[in-house]
Amino acid sequence: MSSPSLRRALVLLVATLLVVSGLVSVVLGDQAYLEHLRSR
Amino acid sequence: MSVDGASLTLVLGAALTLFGLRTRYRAWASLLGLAVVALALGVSVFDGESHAGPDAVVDGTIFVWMGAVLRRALAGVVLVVLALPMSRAFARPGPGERWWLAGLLLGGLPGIALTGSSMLILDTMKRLLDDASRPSEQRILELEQALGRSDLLLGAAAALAALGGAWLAWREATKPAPAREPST
Repeated sequence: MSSPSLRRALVLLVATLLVVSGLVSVVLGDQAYLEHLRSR
Repeated sequence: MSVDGASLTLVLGAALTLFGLRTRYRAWASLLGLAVVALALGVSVFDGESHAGPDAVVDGTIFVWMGAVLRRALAGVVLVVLALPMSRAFARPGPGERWWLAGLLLGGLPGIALTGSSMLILDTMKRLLDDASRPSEQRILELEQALGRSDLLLGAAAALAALGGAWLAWREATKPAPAREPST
């Protein structure tokens, strides 16, 4: 396993985590907003 | 709607990332860009909790939420713009290499999902604001349906990014080292 390959794999993994956490936080924000609407 | 701090950070971060992607530190620059996008999106959780009042569908606080949705749309555009240069940072372009796949899975598709779903929500919100005659319950129901469709789209994009990104990372980590030239 070459070192540049491992480094690129780590970068890809961190990038994946960032993108997924961003998208999940949007869904959570929607849910929080819906909770407010439902609690009226 | 004014330009808020998160949107400004998003635009500045995107500009810095585009600059960084042209240097030898492009892997770090791509992560910086994605971190800024994730941060800008993360703020929407707090927008949903703290700013939206109990009468958000019928009073002026809906505009705060619309601002959050607009910021999402902007984040989606930033992801699409960064997709191709980021792809070059993640994998070396070469013959037979699908180097653009990382950009598509981690930038293009999530960006299109973010902007598309935001447009969907904004369209519903605009319709609700234009037609004030409908009862409040019906308006909430319509907004709930729009947010549900948006979340479905975003969930699919997140699942695709998670599976695709993990597969690409695994493939990269297990790639055999290139054969060295025999020394003479």
